[in-house]
Amino acid sequence: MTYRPTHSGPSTTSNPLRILEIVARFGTGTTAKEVTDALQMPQATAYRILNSLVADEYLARTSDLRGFALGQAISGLITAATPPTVPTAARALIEEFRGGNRFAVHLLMFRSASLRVADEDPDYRLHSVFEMLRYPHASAAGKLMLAELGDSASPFPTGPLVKLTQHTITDSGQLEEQLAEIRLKGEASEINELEQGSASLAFPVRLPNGVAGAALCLSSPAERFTATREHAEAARELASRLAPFLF
Amino acid sequence: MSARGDRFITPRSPVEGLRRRKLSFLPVFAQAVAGVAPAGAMSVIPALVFPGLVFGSNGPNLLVTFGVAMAVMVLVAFCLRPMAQRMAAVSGLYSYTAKGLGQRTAITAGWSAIFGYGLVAMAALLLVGVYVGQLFSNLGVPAADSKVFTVLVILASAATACLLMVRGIRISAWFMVLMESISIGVLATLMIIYFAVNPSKLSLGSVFAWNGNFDALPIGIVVAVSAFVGFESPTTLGGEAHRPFVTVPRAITWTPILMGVLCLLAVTAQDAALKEAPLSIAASSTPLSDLFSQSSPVSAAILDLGIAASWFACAIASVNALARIFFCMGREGVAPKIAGRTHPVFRTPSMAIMVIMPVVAIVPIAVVTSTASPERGLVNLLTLGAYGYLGSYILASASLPFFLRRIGESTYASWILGAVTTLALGAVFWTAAAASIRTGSLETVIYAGVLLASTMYATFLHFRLPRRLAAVGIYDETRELDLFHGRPTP
Repeated sequence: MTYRPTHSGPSTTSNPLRILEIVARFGTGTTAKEVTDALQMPQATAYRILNSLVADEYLARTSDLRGFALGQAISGLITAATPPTVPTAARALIEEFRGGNRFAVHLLMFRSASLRVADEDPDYRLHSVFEMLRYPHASAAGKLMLAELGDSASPFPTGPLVKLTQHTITDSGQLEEQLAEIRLKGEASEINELEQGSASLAFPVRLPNGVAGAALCLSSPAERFTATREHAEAARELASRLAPFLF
Repeated sequence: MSARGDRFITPRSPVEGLRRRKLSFLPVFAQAVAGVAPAGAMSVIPALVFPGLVFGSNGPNLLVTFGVAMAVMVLVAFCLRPMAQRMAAVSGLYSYTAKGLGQRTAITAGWSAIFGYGLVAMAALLLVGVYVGQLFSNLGVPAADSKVFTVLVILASAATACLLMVRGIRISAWFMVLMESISIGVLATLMIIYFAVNPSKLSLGSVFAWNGNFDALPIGIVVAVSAFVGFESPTTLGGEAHRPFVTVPRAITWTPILMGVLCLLAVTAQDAALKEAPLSIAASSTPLSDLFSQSSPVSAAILDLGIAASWFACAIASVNALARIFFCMGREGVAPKIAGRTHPVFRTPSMAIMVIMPVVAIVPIAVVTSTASPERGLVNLLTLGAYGYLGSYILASASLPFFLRRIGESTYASWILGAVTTLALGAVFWTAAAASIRTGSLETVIYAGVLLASTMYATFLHFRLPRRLAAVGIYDETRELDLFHGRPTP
């Protein structure tokens, strides 16, 4: 079959997404009729898609069964896709800490079991951003997140641990041991594991319920790791001061 | 959340207290399969209720009989499916009817379903007793007093079933998976071995032969339909099943199809095998077992074990479903409030189960101890039970278009489907009732009594306790935690 682009409207495969958008815009209690009217979609098609979205918990029906609301399964998509916002007060605190130090200070947030850059050090840009977000087992902030998730969620990625440098931990047993240690100490570190020649330290920024929701990350060249480490206490204190601004 | 949303999401579910949304697909499917009891039904119902179907050359064409029965049941499944996709029901067809045809009709549907589940559970326990007794006699273990022994077996299995069901839906459902695997496995293996050893007896000709006997066909279909009932029982697990809008519709759609195929195979095999057998075997209450005991008592004992397992699972499935309907009625206030209590630790409708189980156990014990033959008791329990199921199927199928209209998702197809299914079921029901009246049995009268009593009760509620009647139709509603709240999920 030859592919012919359609000019009459969006393709049918995106119909579920358009329905989700309508429910998100109209709010809890949006009815099937409102959806079909808004999208000019055949009733039977709309009912079928609505029901399969309910089945997969992307939507939930309201108590009278007429209306729809966004279901909890959609939270993965929305939280992962929404860029984190950092309040000015929090930015100011981080900026104050950065002043004069010879290492980078970044803030990374944990969203749907993945890392998101919330505030990047303007003087020392992040290296290997893609690798850092994609392979959490190789970075300090990533390991902190994995330690926090524990067994409750399956972190991205699944499958064998990718070797980025010769120091990257690729043995899952060894990683588990290190995660247990991180949980105990409340900090994570990485030397040459993400990128040859660089090292970093990460401290948790905790939600009121004690769960870590972000990582304050200090990065420096590998040879200056010990010097950076001396600022650990100050960084930890900053992390606890940041928490109420972020969560 | 918007003001509009606040009215639509209840903070507390009316069926609070059950272990919510944890049961995976296989146990949900097992609830449906066990409700039908394929191994048990395949080996008992055709032979027992309608010997001519299996034995006689005058019987109608088997393929047509079971094919039509399967088609009717698949229609029912198609009617229930859209409702199961939209409502996480805890009381099955009862709550579908409440949403479709209204609360008063729902009372009748609920009583009818309870009647069906209850009688089938009683028959199932009786059959467990009969087959376990058969098992020991095939093994050559003499029972001092066969009646006492059967009563003890029934008591023990009722107690075990009760324990499993109170202990947790997961344990009882996984136990049903195990029992069904054993029973279907045993039956299939023995059938294959039997025909491998006696290939000469198998003649497919009779199965496909059409002897133009239309008179026996409707009755044959009624009996065949009764082999399928119970497939709808997972509609009572909407609250407890994981992803109920996927698992429940899938289970109720595939069970009648699977059962139809199994039944056709088994009935074909039995037809061929029993045709050669002496009349005493074909007319016995345990025909397959008797057939095997002629040649090999051990394989007969294994077969007995398989069939007993299947009926035991059927008893659990039926009481599981019954208890959840009774539980909902208790919560709504149209049954004693005590039935609405759940176990604080095991999170099952334990009170409902413990109230029902003694009643379900006493009837088969009475049948055994009375002078009447167990065969007669079985026929009565199973056919009466089938009336109960059929009654609830008719009301629930007729509910479909009204249900969809009430939630604003009505389609033309649903009106046609609802009408066709209701008419087909009505025809089956009418045939059964007419035949029953012709033979002078009291079954139709008893069931009519149940219907009348339920209508009177609904009318009483309507005039005296309208608020309780208005509460009918509770189900596992969406809760706050099912919704997206826009909070980051670390």
